Formats: sequence, C-alpha cells, structure tokens
Amino acid sequence: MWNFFVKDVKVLWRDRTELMVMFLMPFVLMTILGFALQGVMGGSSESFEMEVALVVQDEEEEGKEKLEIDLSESQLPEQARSALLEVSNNFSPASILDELLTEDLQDQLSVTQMREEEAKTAIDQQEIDAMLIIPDDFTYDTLKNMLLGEEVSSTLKIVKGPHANFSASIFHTIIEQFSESFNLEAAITKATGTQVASSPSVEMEVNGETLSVTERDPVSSMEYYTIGMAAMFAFFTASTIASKAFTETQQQVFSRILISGKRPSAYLSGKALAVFLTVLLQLGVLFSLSSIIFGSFRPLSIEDMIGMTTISIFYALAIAGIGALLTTLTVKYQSNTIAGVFSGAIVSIFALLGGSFIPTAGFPEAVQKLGDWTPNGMAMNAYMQSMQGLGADYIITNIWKLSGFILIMVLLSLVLYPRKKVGA
Amino acid sequence: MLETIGLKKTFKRHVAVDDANLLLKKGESIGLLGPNGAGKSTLISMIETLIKPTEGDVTWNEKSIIKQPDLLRPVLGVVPQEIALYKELSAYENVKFFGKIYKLTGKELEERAEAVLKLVGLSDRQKDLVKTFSGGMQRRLNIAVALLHEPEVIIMDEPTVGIDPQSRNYILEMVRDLNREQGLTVLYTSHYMEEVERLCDRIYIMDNGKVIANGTKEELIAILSEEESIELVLEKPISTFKEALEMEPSILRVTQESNGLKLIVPKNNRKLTRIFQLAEQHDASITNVNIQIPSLEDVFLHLTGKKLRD
Repeated sequence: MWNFFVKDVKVLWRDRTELMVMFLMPFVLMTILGFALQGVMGGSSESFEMEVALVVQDEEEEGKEKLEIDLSESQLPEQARSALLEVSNNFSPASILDELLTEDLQDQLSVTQMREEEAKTAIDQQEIDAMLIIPDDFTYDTLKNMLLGEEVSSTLKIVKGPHANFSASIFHTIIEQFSESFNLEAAITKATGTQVASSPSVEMEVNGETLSVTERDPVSSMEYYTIGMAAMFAFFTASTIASKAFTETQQQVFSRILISGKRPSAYLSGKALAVFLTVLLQLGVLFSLSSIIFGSFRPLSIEDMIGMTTISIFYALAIAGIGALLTTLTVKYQSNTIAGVFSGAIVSIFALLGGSFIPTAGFPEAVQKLGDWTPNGMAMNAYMQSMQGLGADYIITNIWKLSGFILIMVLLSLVLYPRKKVGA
Repeated sequence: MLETIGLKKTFKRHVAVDDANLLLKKGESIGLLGPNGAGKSTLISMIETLIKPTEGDVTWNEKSIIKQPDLLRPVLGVVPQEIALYKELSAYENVKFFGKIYKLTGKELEERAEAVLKLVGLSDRQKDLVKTFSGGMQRRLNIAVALLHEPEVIIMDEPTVGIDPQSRNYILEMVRDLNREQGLTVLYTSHYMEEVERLCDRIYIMDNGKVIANGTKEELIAILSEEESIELVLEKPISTFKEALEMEPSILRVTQESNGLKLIVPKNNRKLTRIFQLAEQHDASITNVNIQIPSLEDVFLHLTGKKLRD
C-alpha cells in the first residue's frame, strides 16, 4: 500500500492545475464570499424569525428589597443611600431585557416564557431555537455590582438548539449586544456616581460554558466560508484521484498492476490514503491561512483545536472513502464519466445542501435535513458546534454520522471493485 | 511453453476471437499480425490473464492459467501498446514503483533498476520526469519496466508505434538480443511487417477473430509461390487504367500504391504487352516496372484482403 500511496501522492502533487484547484481556488473563493457576504452572517435581516424561550428565575422585587436592606445596612451617607435607592427603584435589568426581546424585537423573535425543564424539552423537540435563562438573583447581583461596586456579576445563560446553529448564533449576538451596552451604561453610571467596579455586571454563559462577552464571537462570514469552501473543495481531491485512476486504465498502467497480481486492496488503499492526507493538509492550510490573514478562529483554545482536528480527520476519511468508491467505479466501467458527474454536479448539490455556499437555515426543513446528511453538511455542523464551544457531546453526533458514511463508502468500494473481470 | 487452445471470446453478440490456437515454445519469437479489429488485442488480453475467455484454455507449461493466473503472472512481462507509465514521475521512480509491485526490494531492486535503465540507454536521464522524454525514450522505458522482474515470456503489443527510426532500430536490436542471447520468449505484434520479418521465428496471421495462417516467413510466402507481383510506377494516377486492369482476367489483384499500382499475376504469365496496351489506351504514363517475388505483405494482403497498416 505504501508504494501505491507514495506514487499517488507524487502524481497528484506534481500536477500544478490540480494543486491550484485544491488550494488556491478555495482560498480565493472564501476570501470573496467571506467579504462579500458579511451582511448575511450579521443577523440583521428583517425577514429573520426565530422561536426562543425565556426562562425567568429572577425575582425582581425580591432583589430590589434585598438591595434596599443592603443599602440600609451600608456605611454610606444618607444622601447617597437615598439616591442609590432611587436608581434601584427605577432601574430593572431583567425588565429591560424582557422589553427588548418581547417588544423591540417582536418582528424577529417570538418569545415564550417557560420553565427551564419545559424549555429543554422544547429544544430537544426542535420547537424552539434557543432559550435564555435569567438566573436567580439577576436583579440583585446586577444592581449590587452597579450601585455598590461589589465584585459580583450575574450570568445570562443561552442554550442553543443544535438543530438551529445559525439562528441561535444570531440570538446569541442579540444578547451579547444587550450585555455589552448594559455593561457600558453601568460603567457610565459608575463613572458619574461614586462607586467603581472592575468586573462587568452582566456576563453570558452559552450552553454551560461561562464566557465573558468579548471572548466568544458568533461565527463570522470569513470563518463560515473558510469551512464551507474547505469542505467543498475537499470533494475535488476525491474526483481528481479517480480521474488519475482513469488515466491509469487508459494508459494500461492499471493492466500492468493487475498482471503483477497485486491485491485490489493495496491499489485502493493507496488512493484512499493519498486522498486522506491531501484533504487533511488542504483543510489545515486553508484554516491556517484564514486564521493568519483574516484573523478567523480566534481565540483558539486547545479544546477548539482538538475538536477541529478530530472533525478534520473524520471528514478527510469520509472524502477518502468517496475517493475509493469513485476510483472503483472508474476502473470498473473504464470511464471518466462518474468522476466527471461527481465533480460537475454532485459536488455542487452537496455544497448547496450542506451549506457551503449559504447557510441552510433559510431552506425548507426537509431540505435542511437532507443537507445534514451530506458529508460536508455533517462536517460543517460539527465545525460550527465546535467553534461555538458546544463541547464533545454535540460534535459526537456528527462524528458518528461521518463514521457511518465512511463505513458505507469502504464497503461499497471493496464490493464493487472489478476483480471478477480479471482472470483470478 | 505457452499455449492457447480453442480460445474464444464473445462480447454480447460479437465474436472477437474464435477458436484461436497459438503456441509459444520456450525461447521462441512469435509474430502476431492482423488488420485493425482482427482480435489481436483481445487474444493478448486473454493470454495476459486480463480477460477470461468465453471458451477454451490458456496453458503455461501445460497447466491452465485461467484458473491459476498466478502461475504465469510472475514470469510474464508485458509491454502494452500505450505508454503504460506515470509521466509525472521520473524514469527511476517509475522503475522503482513497478519493481516493488513485483516484490523486488532493497539491493535487488536497485540492481535491477540500474540494469534495465542501462539496457534501454536511459541511465543518464533516469532522474528526469517521463513527460520530458521523447516518444522513443518513453517507448524504451515502457520496455524496461516490463523486464524488471526478469520474465521468461514477454508480450509486446506494437512497441514501436510513433517513434523515430533510430529509436525503433534500438528497440528491435534490443528485443532480438534478449530473444537470441538471453533466451527470452517473445510474442510480438506490429503494424510494421519488416519488424516481424526481422525478429520473429514464426508468424501467426489473424483476421476476423480467427488465426488464418501460421508458419515461418518462408512457409507463409510459399502460399503465394505460384504468383508474382508487378510494381508499376506511374507519372500520375489514372483511375480508368486501374479499373481496366482489374477487369483483366490474367491479373489476380490490383492495389493502389503511393507512386503507382501493384499487380499480382500468375507466375510465368505476366502478359506485360497487354498491360502496356491498356496503359496506352487510358493515357497512363508508366515510368518504371518492377517484377518481384511476393513479400510477406503480399501474403497478408492475399489472406486478409487488407494492407497491414490500413
């Protein structure tokens, strides 16, 4: 197998046209699409609508009463105490957030108040896209931070539905903007008042992981198209290797290999390994370039790197499987048509369904589900989930799906390989 | 000893090879001739264990290789009609790759690679990519690869197509040496009659899927022992003159040549006077007349009705 692999890699890598298709084209396209479609990924679309649950665990009046007690027990002068009490009575962070979601954004958001358990079930059943939890003592902690300058902050928690990555990301951005402006206003309040606090009064937690608002941005258009184009152009590596197999049959090199009595598995696995390592390199180069030149995927934690590397390995294996199947069909029918149809038509369909060109959120549900089963769709979902810090549990579903796909490709390649045509 | 016995191959309704019997004795050099579509490539593919015959058998030392292709494969070298090489790899990388698929490793592989590259005169260019080679050099490397594992039998399917005379001569000399001096058994097909005449001990002629004649060059020419050929060099071609010759009962066959006509006539019955009469009648100016005994090309034409390079 190693002999075949070395030969296949050399043949592939010495073809400059193919190198351009594998590395330069996706880079150019991701740059163009990433810049041109920045608006699409910003979440400002008027026609956008999503279902969210609001879980209010905070008792606003109780928080204010607790703060009043704190104020009365504080060492502050009477005048300051009554001024702060005045602010506290008129300032309700939870109500402002509620008003923002239910009134200001009523065209984009459909907000339903639920209990946490209800909201979790609704997410599982894909009835809602995300939920926002306003935690217990949110009012109390926020006001205490703002008015008394104590180092406590309250954490808003967003749980995104894995089925609604794109829309949930937009919701994430909305809440992020709220907390940013809230923290700014709080800072102004502090600057004009007497108290100074170093920590933000409102933090956010997304799906169990605590983040300060500036740490985790939603997926940018550049990141999205880096992944989209890398996933799409990986397909061309598979079709290229099959085209090389066609050349081998046409130039009777394949006959020479058959006559030598070499096992089909050595020939096929050499091709698959060449595709696997090339795709892995392709993904690595494109992600790195995007990160270095456009600042994508930053900050990149060790967890993120492990997650993205794992997904890349499985995706490269899936593409290697496609490469093996296309090679098998090419040598079986001694025709380049199958690889041609794949690179000319099937790749475009996969790219569209899987979300390489545009996010699939706008597609009908059935089409979205179909897209989730394309190899690039599985990989893109996994990358997005990894980048949003959803953790291994969310990614593993797509890894399993990719593993199933790889298995099917390998089995089909071996079953269909044309050994019967040979006099063995 | 390699033998095909009543070999038949049918593709759907088309019979590509029908009842082909071929024998290659150890150390022999056999030519296989036939016009395009005669079934040569199909027959060769069956011998090479690439295609299963519909009927019949192929044996190597009297054992069937249909059921056990691995009996023949390790001792068989194949030079396909195409340049069966990786053009993006260097000559040395190609030799090394194909050597390894024949399980050559380490020092043995290095020695064999060096030997075959030297044999085909490419030692100096071994590091260059094959795509930078001339047609003749590519053909030579195509042969080198087939000789790597020191086969006992080599099948060469038109190994000199499209190359310059010097390269062609180099290849022919090399094949002759391999056959005569090293005892390599050769099955050789070509569109060049003179190559087969020069290299081969015996010749098989195929047409429409069947072997229609076989024997030494002399035995085949004896088929036309009762005939001779007259070559007429004409100032310009006159179609009515050719038609008139074709109508003439004493002339067996008329074929168009590049500079005139070739006639096959019964021996000792040349009727040259009649030919000149017809030329005068049709305003055909004969500038030269050449009377020859029939060649292998004439035999081929006689048997198949076609020229070898048609």
